[in-house]
Amino acid sequence: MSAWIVLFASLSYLALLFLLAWLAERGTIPLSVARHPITYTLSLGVYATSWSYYGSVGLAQGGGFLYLTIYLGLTVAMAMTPVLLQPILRLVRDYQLSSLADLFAFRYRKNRVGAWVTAAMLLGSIPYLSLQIRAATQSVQMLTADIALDTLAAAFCIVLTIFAVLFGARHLTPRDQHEGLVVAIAFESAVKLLALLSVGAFAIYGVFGGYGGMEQWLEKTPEALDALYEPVQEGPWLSLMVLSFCAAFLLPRQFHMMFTENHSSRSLRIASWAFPLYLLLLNLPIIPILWAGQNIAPGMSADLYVMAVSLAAENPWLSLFALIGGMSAASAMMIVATLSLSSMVLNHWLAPAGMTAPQAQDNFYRALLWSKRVSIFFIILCAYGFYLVIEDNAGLAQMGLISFVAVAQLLPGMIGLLFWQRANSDGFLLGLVGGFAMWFVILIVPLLVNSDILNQQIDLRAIFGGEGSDIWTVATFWTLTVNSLLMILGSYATRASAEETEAAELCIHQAARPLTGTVLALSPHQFTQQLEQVMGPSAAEKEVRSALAEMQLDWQESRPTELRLLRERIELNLSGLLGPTLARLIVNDRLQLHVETHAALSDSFKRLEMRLENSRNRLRGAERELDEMRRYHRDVLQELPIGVCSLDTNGTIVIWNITMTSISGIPSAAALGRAVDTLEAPWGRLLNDFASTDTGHLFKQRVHRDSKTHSYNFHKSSIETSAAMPEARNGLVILVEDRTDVDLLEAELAHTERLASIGRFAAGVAHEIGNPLTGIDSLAQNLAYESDAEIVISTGDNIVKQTRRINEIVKSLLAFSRREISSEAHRSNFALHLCINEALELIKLDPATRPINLSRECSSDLFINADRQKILQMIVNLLSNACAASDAGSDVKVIAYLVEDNCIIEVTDQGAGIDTLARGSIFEPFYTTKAVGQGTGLGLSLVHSIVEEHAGRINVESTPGVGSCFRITLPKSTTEPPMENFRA
Amino acid sequence: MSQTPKTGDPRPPLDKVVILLLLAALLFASPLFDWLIRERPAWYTPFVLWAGLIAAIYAANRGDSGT
Repeated sequence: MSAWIVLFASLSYLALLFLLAWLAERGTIPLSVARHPITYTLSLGVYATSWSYYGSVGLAQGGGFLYLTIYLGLTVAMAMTPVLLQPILRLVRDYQLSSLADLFAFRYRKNRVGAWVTAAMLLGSIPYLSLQIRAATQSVQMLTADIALDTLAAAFCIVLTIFAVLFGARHLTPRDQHEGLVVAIAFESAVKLLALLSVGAFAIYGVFGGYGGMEQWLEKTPEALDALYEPVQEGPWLSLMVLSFCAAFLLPRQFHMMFTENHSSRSLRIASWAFPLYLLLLNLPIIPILWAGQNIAPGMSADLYVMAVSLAAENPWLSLFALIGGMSAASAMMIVATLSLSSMVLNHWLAPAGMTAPQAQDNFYRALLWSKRVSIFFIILCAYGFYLVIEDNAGLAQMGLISFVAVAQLLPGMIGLLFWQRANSDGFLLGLVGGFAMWFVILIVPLLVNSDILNQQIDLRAIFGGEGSDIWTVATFWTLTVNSLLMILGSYATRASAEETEAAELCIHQAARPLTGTVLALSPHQFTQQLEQVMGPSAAEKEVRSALAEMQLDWQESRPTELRLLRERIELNLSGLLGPTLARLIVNDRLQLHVETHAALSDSFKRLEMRLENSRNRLRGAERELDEMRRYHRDVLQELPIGVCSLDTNGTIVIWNITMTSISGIPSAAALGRAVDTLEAPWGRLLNDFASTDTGHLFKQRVHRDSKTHSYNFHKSSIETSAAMPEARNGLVILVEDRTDVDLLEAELAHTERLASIGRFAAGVAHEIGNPLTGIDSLAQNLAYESDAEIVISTGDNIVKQTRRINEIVKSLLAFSRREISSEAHRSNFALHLCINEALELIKLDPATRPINLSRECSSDLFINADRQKILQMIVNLLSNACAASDAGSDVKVIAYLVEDNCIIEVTDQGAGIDTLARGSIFEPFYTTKAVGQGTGLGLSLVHSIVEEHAGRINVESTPGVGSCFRITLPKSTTEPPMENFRA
Repeated sequence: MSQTPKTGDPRPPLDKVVILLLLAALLFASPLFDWLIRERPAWYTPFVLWAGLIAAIYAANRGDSGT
């Protein structure tokens, strides 16, 4: 086949990958597709590299069904998703960890842990990367021998570097995941599956003439089946399963796709069965291809059977498809592994070494990004170098398994990370170094021997496993045994730091210690100023702004609790950028804590709440019951119809319930975490003063708010926990009781009581005065008959007039004292206009009202249900007052009309009006503005009583010098009035 | 008063994981497996066993809502 065709097909395929990745990054391929569990599952197919694609046939040739162990071990790991993979995913997502080295550095809390894990992963991955280069280039050369192998390999490496830089190193943090990369890798997985299935189908139907033909060939060649099964009985079946179990989640590329690029635990749950299913489908054609290859090209290396069988079809499309499938397998692995390794190199080698991060520079992000890109270039360069050195001396499977044994050295550390609290960094590193030393001696030294770098022949198998033992069993057993033993010994021999113990708690029990100390920086601006010395002004500002946005805070934030949590958030975000070690170093250095300030209850409380909310679904058994109880108690506190405010020992607000918010007008989000004395006036002063006094109760404190005076009672109690509890749990609880409404009711009750007393007093006075008054009146009338003297008659008349006035007053007093609630029996439906007419007629009888122009406006169909006599009295009283206040010739008008379900009666005059001061008292009994002897001050009081009895309202509008308007609102009659009521 | 969680039991299905591990051991690392391969069954037998384990993982995951 022409080299140009191969080149064109390969470049077209890579262009298609670029296009897909670009479309996904732009959002043309929707997120629902890019983040679909099927896309995620296919992207995990990066596990199947060119080793699976080409090398599985080679492994099956020499080891029969042993090649299946590479996938069976992985299936077992996927079966353990709930207890193994989900906890890792939780840690990666919660703490923004982007690689294996980040995860180990987070748990073991030593700078060198990340660096060592990075070294180990590089050491283990370089042979594997070089394997991909070799497989890809060899397969191309099978199609066309026109291009030199090394040139081909170099070109392949350059294209992959460009792809990895463009779609894997565009963003720096795991917060910005790479949808383009995921879609491209998923597409590559689909392509390699289809390609292998196509070649497998040709092997059965093209080479054997159908499945029956293959069965017949098997019957004639029973040794083919024996060759598959015999190695299973004798070979390293279990060892390889252990290795592939480790590789399932410890290979850098697998870790990257499974955890760093994961969007939901649901995807991982689905992948736990869907991914092994994908691998099963991928492996089904391997055996038919092997047998077809044995028939077609018996002398050829079985690693090349996939290409050989596809070439036998004499169909260039199938050959090209097979080639592209193989290139997919190789390129996907190289891109993802390189990205993952470059992230480790950046976070644990370059940044701590001061090549990028510690310098204050404006182009901080760009420097990091370029460091990552350069790392990608150097990793691929190393793989190319290894490919040149180790060329042709080892089979694909052998090089793949060397990498598997290398990554398996992280298994003891991972078990310690997830399950063993005692494990510490010294033990982990000791085990890792010991395990890798064994790996090097058992697996790498023989490789170097074979490649003539070492000239002396060493039979290590004889040393470690005795005659006849398998190299993979020997390597797996010795590396893991030495590693585990050293880790156990190291962990028991040394003591973990406090930080490491805390990290162990986080990893194993998901339990966080209370936050200690307060941040010295007092505002987000000060955070920026501190960070810019390390990151440069723009990056520092961007990081602080992004953390503020995630926490929904603003730049004015000054609450110590929120600032403490902001510091935590910045550390997390920097961890996604620079790895946990460097992030911790920067934050500890630049955002220092006030170490003498003990743990604030408010900080712990809020952090605990946040953690419990986030991990609620993970609680179980008694923990879950306790959490339910906690929620119930919290809801009770929140919903209490009394204000609850709790302070910690620093005077910081820990609890601020809903009623407290409605009483103070300060929302809970603004109050929590603030020092109580910084609250808006008057609450800061009130609560702070009360908290610092010895008295437990404070009654009837008046607070002016919303143009209204409110009255509050304050109660407090100190919270003192037992000695077993930390000091941070002590504090103070303050209850605030709003008694504004109660005070109003009490005042009203007192007023009513006073009125009742006045009524009783008035009745007594009227009764006592009435009898002697009658006597005086009779005697005064008799005077006219006793004497003809003018003076005597005149005096008698005056006495009679005065006694009649006294009598009127007494009658008013009696009327006031006898007022009572109108019973239903006294109520009737009546036409209001008739009642108003009657009132006008009565008023006109008084000679004093004759110069006044009295008028009315009232529809004849306006009815109310009320005590007619009392309504009449009410209107008469109002008219009487209006006339008294009016000058001769002025107008007094009575208007009645309907507004919705209410009947409005207005009495308007053009009199002197009522001044503002008097307006508040006019309905008080005995209050009058008339001259002494001109009024009793009971008229309007009676009007007020009558209106209230009828469930109505009265209000007054008055302008001194212009006039007044008394407006009475009464409920309209709801029943049909009798006909006689319409008659005048 | 505690409320019954609506999302079902959130505990990791440890029992299911243990059963799956036992099944995997029975299928691929037990005397039964040794006996099976000594009998030289059809070439696709390991794939059938593997598919059985995958089906068991699927069944174990079907009822879980995830976290």
